[in-house]
Amino acid sequence: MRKRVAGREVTRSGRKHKPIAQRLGRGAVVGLIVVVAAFPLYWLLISSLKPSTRLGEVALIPSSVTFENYIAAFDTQIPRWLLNTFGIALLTTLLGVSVAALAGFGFARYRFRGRSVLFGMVLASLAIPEYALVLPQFTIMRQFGLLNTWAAVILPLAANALVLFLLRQYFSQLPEELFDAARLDGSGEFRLFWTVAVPLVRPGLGAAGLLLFLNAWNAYLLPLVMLTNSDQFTMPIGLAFLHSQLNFGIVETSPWGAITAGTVISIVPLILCLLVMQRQFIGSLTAGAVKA
Amino acid sequence: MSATARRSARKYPASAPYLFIAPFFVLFVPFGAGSVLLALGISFLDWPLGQPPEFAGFDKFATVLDDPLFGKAMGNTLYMLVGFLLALLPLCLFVAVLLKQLRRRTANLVQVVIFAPITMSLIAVALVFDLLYNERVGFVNNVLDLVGVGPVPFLTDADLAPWSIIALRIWRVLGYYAVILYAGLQSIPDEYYEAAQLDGAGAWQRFRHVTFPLLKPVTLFVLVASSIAAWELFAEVQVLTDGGPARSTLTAVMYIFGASFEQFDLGKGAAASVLLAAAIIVSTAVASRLLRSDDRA
Repeated sequence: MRKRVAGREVTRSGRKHKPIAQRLGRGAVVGLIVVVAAFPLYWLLISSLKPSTRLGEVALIPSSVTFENYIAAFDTQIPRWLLNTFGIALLTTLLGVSVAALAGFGFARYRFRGRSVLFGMVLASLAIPEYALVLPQFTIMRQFGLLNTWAAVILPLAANALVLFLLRQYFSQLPEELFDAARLDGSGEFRLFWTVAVPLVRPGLGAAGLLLFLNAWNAYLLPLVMLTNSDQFTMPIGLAFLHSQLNFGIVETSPWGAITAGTVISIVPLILCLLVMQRQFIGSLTAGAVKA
Repeated sequence: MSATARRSARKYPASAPYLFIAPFFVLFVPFGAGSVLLALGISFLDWPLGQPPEFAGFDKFATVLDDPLFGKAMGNTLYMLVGFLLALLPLCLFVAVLLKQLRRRTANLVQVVIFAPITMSLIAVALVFDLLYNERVGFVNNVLDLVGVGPVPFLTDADLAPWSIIALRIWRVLGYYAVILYAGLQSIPDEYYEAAQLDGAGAWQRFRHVTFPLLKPVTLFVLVASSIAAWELFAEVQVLTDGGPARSTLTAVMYIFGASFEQFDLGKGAAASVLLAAAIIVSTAVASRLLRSDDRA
């Protein structure tokens, strides 16, 4: 049996003697942390199920539950924004994983002239804050007439250096003999990539895909700059836009209902993924950190 | 023999590696490396959006550096960054150590709950917190109202607003960094703790002399990653306070955004982003120098 968490073996023998009060105290602290983490989300959900006129009520369990906010949300541009967000995130993921997998394979499996310079350039770009690049990216998209198109958001987000770095790590762990054997069978290089390497790095591709999807789904500054036509908004831009209309209105006529329902809709897909996949999900998002 | 010779000579077409990396570079050249150069280039231009650009030398840098608002924005960003880090680091270390003392299954369950906020967009988090902070409909103020206190001006008081923003950011990332640190803790061998215990080390001494030094590389990663994110503070502030009240939450990225897309002065925006990027790169380099010197490999 593998030993459990570090430090446990020692404390376990002494556990019997640990005062009940101490264990209760620890339980209370853990409980507090869980409540602090979960309460704002619970409150969001409750708020989205209350009539907007009762938004300020503090009852922890609402006296009446209604779906009118969700119905109201679908009378706004939210369905359109949802479609934009989903389309942009999905295409960014597909494109980003494809180019990073190909390049990761290239950098991991071949020695070629310019390899270290090119890879060094990609690594160095990790140090550049992405916010500094939004302005030049905007001027490029404007030059090519791509403002207010999905492409203006997808193309910059798909060129993700961290994802390339991650996938290169996965590809370099494969033994060279695998490829030699396939080469003797007469496989071309792309075939090696597609039929030998790709199936073996599926966990890496999954992690890369999740990183890219989450990044695109939640992106703010880039779509804010590129998409100025409200038909083209993504959910974060659209929700911020609805919220900006609150300041001048009174609660009753403000789009609070659409905002709370829309926020719930926008966070549900990724939270569901987290609940279903749990360890793989957490592992994928922390992979960059642990590998670095 | 000749087979091995041929193999070492070349077992694939010389163009193969370039074909593999080409698609990535088709995107990376304009939007990565090219955009870095372009940002540098634009910062030397006088370029009102929609008009032809003119060379302006260091004028735009001078404009930005002379602008008291830029100093204010950098100062605010740094103030919130320091407050954020001072609160975040002990908190996430504490949560990570606590997670390790729990049963595996309980720890996994707690991890899932505290990890949820990092999957949300900054805008969603800002809107959730408005439901707590808001002076009219916010939960906290309505509860305080029941007991006849308040309202607390979470977002409308110049001293309090930066801390309300810091609290929101900590809520969003605490679980994420705690989980990273917890993963680091699990890689520390049990034997070290057993030895320390045999030597009579108490809980604090075990943390101080075993956990902390061995966890230092991971802690420094958390420090670097969270401070880069803090330098780039923008979305939630734009939604909740729009830089106010009295510009107390105006951030560096907000200044850049204003210069570029509200005043349409692209040169000024680019100059400010070059200065911000330089600040981030310098502070990151200092921190990762520390990180590397700690790496025994």
